[in-house]
Amino acid sequence: MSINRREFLKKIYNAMVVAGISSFISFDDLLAFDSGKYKKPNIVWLLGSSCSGCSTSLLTIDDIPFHELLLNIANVVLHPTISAATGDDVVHIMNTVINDMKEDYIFVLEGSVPTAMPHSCLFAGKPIMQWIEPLMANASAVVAAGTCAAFGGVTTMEAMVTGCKSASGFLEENNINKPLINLPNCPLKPEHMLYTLAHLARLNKAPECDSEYRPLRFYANTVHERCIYYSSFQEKTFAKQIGDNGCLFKLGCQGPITKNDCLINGSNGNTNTCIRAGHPCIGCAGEQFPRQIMMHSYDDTRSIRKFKFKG
Amino acid sequence: MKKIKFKDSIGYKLVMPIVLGTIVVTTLAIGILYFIEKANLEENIQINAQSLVHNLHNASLASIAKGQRKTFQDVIDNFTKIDGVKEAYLYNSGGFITYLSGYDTVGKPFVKNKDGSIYNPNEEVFKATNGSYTRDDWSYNDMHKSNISKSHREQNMGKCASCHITIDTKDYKKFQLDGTISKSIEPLIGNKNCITCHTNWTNNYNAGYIGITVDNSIIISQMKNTISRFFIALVLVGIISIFIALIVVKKSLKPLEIFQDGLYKFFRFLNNEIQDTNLININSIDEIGLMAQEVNKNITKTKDLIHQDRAVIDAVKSAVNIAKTGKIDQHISISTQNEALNELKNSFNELFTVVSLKVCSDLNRIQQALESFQDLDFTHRINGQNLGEVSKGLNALADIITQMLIQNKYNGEVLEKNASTLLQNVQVVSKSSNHAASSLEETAAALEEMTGNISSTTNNIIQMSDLGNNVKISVNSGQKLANQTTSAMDEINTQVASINDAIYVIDQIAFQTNILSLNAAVEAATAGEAGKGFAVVAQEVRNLANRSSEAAKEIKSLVEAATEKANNGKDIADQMIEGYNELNNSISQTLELISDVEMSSKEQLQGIEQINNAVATLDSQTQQNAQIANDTAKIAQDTQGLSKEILEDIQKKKFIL
Repeated sequence: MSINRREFLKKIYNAMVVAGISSFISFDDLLAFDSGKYKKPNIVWLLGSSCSGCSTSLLTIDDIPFHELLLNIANVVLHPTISAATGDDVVHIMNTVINDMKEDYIFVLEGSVPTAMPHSCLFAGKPIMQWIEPLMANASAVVAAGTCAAFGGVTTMEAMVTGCKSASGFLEENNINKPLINLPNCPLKPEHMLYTLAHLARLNKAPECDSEYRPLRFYANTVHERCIYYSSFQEKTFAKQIGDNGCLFKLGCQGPITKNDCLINGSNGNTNTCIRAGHPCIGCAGEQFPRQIMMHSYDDTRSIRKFKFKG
Repeated sequence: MKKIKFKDSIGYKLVMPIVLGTIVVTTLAIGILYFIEKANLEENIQINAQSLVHNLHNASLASIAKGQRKTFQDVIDNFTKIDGVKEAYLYNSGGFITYLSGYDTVGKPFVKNKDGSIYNPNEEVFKATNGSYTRDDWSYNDMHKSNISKSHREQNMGKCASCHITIDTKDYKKFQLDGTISKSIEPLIGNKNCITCHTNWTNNYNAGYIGITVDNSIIISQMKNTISRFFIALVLVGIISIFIALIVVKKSLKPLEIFQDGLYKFFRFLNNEIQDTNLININSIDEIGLMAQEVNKNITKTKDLIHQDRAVIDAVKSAVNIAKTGKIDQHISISTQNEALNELKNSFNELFTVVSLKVCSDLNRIQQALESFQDLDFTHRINGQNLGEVSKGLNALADIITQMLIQNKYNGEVLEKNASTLLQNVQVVSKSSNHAASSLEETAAALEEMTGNISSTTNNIIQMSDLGNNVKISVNSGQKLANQTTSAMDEINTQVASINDAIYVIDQIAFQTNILSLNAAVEAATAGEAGKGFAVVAQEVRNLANRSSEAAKEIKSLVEAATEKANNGKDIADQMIEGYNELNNSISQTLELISDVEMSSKEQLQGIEQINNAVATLDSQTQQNAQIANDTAKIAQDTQGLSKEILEDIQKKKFIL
């Protein structure tokens, strides 16, 4: 299939409309980005204690190759997963970024930062936290991609000995004062990332956030408030087991405490969500994720408990 | 008949226990009823409040379980429409009121004003968010861990209750009754459904406290009404039973009054207060009837005796009445069964006999004699047969009085004669005394004038002496000044001598300077052309030396003239001193003379004063004498008057000469 440049840009713009960026980026702006008249923001992306799921999710955005999009509106200086450079070249790039690009790049963190056991995550022969700290300190803004980076998520479950810190926790620990945008979801929703980066690039400021640094555009309401089973909840029609019709509240649904836009913008290009598929919300974008209660029933003897949240 | 006060009557004593008993029983019944009702009422109020709060808990459970704030608000708002429920509210797990009927809330603690009323500080948040505001960390943090509550605690040193309405979450009262207001609180226990949203809770967590305030005034007033109605009914029954008791007692005690009346009349008859009495008219056969029959028997008996006594008493009375007219010789012959009365009658007979023998059988004649004596007629005598001892004595007394009057008349005449002689003599003495007194007064006046003159002379002499002393002081100070002048002149002389020495020294210097200038001129000439200037200077020095010498001579002559004048001054001063000495001597002599005169003048003054005193004494004695003479004259006059009165008095009385 061969398409010309303009049609390609139209596809990109369609993706942007889905992501909610169209309110501040017009199609003409996109053309202007493409022609290279505007300075594209630099992006440095590092993976801490993570599963690379968020990167994967981002890269598999529907319809268009996302790196094309990123290359059109932003300049990805480094992303380990898709980096063409290897070995000493990468180290050179990293040092150049730290030394010469002060306040001129957006730092995206995927996964949490192991602080109690630094060597559990190494990069170019050094613990990752030693890279992350100067990169955060010199960045113009920090974006925490995914629940692990935003709230710790699975990496801070009980019995984890790595002592992982979320982006906000790490910033606080090292007394770094930078604008932070949390984009929790497991994995990251590419639309959230697209919106945030476009906002930072176009308006040169972070989108409006709540007290947990989450953009209000996506995280203002709980899943529960927009749930398709809300009427069943009101009527007290509760499902007794997976597959029953009715509200999944009694099966440990985390919808009431999870702020996300799943019921508007589902996973995989809004093809489906957990609740639509008949499973209770597991609260993957919540501060408390993962909880034992999401195991369908309180009688479940398995124990999932989090470390004390954020101290 | 004496009227008995009701409170002393038998009727009162019978009725009173009934009245008192009724009151005691009524009071006891009311008291017991009140306490039983009160205990029941409090129990009812507690059951009512607790069941109401339990109902509220159940009614609101669904909205709480779903976390529906406004639905819960509707439930508690509607709950206050139940009769008596004033307020319904919810304390959160920390014990703060976060929901209150009638107030909008976003689930944050209410704040109380200083007057105790509540207001919601988050009302604006409520309006802005249309009531859908939610705390960001609500699902995983306890309230006290939030930043705002931390800062509030720091500000108020942990005293939450100073701003918020709180309950003690560990030790709160489930039920509280304060007057008519009762409060009831029920805890909300967290279960597994709660934990879904409240992630910081555990099972059986103290999730909150739901409570209501109930106004029980209607129930309490109902209880009070019941008790007051019961009270009124009891009082009515009591009044009716007292009334009936009064009527019954009054009726059964009626014969007692008749008996009392009959007895009263009988005693009055006995005491002679009434002339006759009736029998008591009671026909009943009870205790009072028997008593009346017995009393009637005695009334009949007593009446007969009293009539006999009255006949004797009447005879005595008529005999005494005749005796009252003066005829004492009486006799009573009638008699009675009453021994005492008979004795009394005999005593009266004896009394009549004795009096006619001792005094007179007819007292009117004695009275006649005494009346003529009262009229100063001592010529009357009592005549007739059977004269008593008193009548004879009265005749003898009249004879003695006649003799005394004759003697008095003679004495009065002698006294009158002597008194007039005394009066003449005393008048002569009085006249001469008054004359002597007036002469003495004149003498005293002349002496006082003399005394005044002498004392003014003495004062003048004292002034003279003062003036002489002043002159002496002036002379002494003049002498001193003259002495100072002399010594000053001597000092001038000494100074002039030293000036002379100085002039001599100046003269010498002028001379030496002259010689030096000469030498200098010579040396200047030797130096030739070079010393020419210096020769001029030397010549000028020489001229100056000469002028100095001349000036010294002039000063010397001036100083000598001054010395001469000073010596003259000294001589004059010496003469002044001598003059002053003489003046001093004469003044001292004058002063001595003055003091002698002063002394003698003072002595003279003392002498005159003594004479003065003597004359004054003499004067007062003379005046006393005159006064005594005058008094004596008056006494003599009185004596003469008295003698005349005696004679006149005697003239008035009739007697046989």
